[in-house]
Amino acid sequence: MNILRLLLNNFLGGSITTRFPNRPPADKGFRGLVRYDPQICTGCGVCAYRCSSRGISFRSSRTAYTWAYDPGQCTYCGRCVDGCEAHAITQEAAPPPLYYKRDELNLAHTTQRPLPPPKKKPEAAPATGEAK
Amino acid sequence: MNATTALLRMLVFPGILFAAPAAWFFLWIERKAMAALQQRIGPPFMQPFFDFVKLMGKQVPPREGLGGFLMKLWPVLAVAASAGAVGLLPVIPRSGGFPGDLVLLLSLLELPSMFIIAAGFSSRSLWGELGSSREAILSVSYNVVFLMAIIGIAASQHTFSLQALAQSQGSPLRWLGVLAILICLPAKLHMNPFSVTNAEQEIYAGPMTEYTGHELALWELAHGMEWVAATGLVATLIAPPLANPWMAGALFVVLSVAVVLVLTIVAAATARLTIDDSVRFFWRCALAFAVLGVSSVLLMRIKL
Repeated sequence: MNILRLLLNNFLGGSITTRFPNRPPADKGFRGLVRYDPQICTGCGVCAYRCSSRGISFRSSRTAYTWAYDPGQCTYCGRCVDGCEAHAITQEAAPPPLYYKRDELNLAHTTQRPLPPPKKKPEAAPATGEAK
Repeated sequence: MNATTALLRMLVFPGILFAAPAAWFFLWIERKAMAALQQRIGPPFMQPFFDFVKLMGKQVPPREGLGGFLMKLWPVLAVAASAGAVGLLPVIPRSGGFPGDLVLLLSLLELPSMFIIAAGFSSRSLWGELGSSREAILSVSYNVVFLMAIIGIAASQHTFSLQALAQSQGSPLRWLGVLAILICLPAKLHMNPFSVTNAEQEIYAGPMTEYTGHELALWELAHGMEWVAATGLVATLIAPPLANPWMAGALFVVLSVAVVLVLTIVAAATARLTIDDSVRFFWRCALAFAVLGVSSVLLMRIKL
């Protein structure tokens, strides 16, 4: 009969869950939305390489690179954060906000690569023979 | 009861028009009560209806051949059988009925179970076939108790008419029969402790594993209507006869909800039995109730 007493206590004790969108406060280590700091990013693209759910995409060219993030694809595993040696990627310690339109929370940032220093033109080789 | 009345009762009241909202309401009561017993909030009031609408809008993968046709057919038949069973219930006193409608109600209550078995095998899924074979074994076991209980009640009142049973006074034999029916209802409705048919931790959804979209929505609706019909049968048997139709209708609903709550508490308080234990339980109960049923039939014969 212990189970009936337990059920009665459960019934009288009220609910410990909350109705969506109310959510319990997030703990310190909670893995929420991925945040990106283009000032620190070195453009290595390891985050996209480590993202197995294709939440992060990285397109690079000689002059610029584009970092894009789709929270709809993200599983909040945190592997991108672990792999970012420059610490340009962090995660919010809060659950993602509600959104009503597709791709509403998507992020994309394009950074221009610093131009390489101009190459010195090799000096003209000294003439070895006289022109005929 | 002529054909028009029968059709009206099946399609309008207490058939599909009453049974569908009642089915969603009963499903909500069961889920909400279960949540309250587990310290959860539970679903909002309209959730079973929203689930139905959402499932109706989903695409169903194309299925070729006779197997695909049968998979489409079973849920429709299950809804029709459940609606027919609800349509037979004497929700309002003196609303019709015919001698022997209890037998028809029993057969209609049994049909969804058979369709579930057929659906699982039609799907050709491993989990579906496992669930179907479990349902078949369980059905053979609990139906002995169920039918004996009904026969015992009907024989004690000298009638197989639902209307006459609803209007007659209770007797100790009748209460025993109601107890036996209540023992069988968790198995009939796939609830703990007899939920081996759709044991989600072992065989996913059992016979329903391959179902989706509007077909699954119809199964859910049929399941809800089974709730209404099965709890309504108990409510019919235990409700005292009332002359006022509104009072009688309200009492019918209140008693049905009470039965849902009792079944939910039993489900929350028990764990799932294995198929062996379930069958053993029912066959042991069957012995007692079979003797009870047969003795009451003999008693009726002697009196006649």
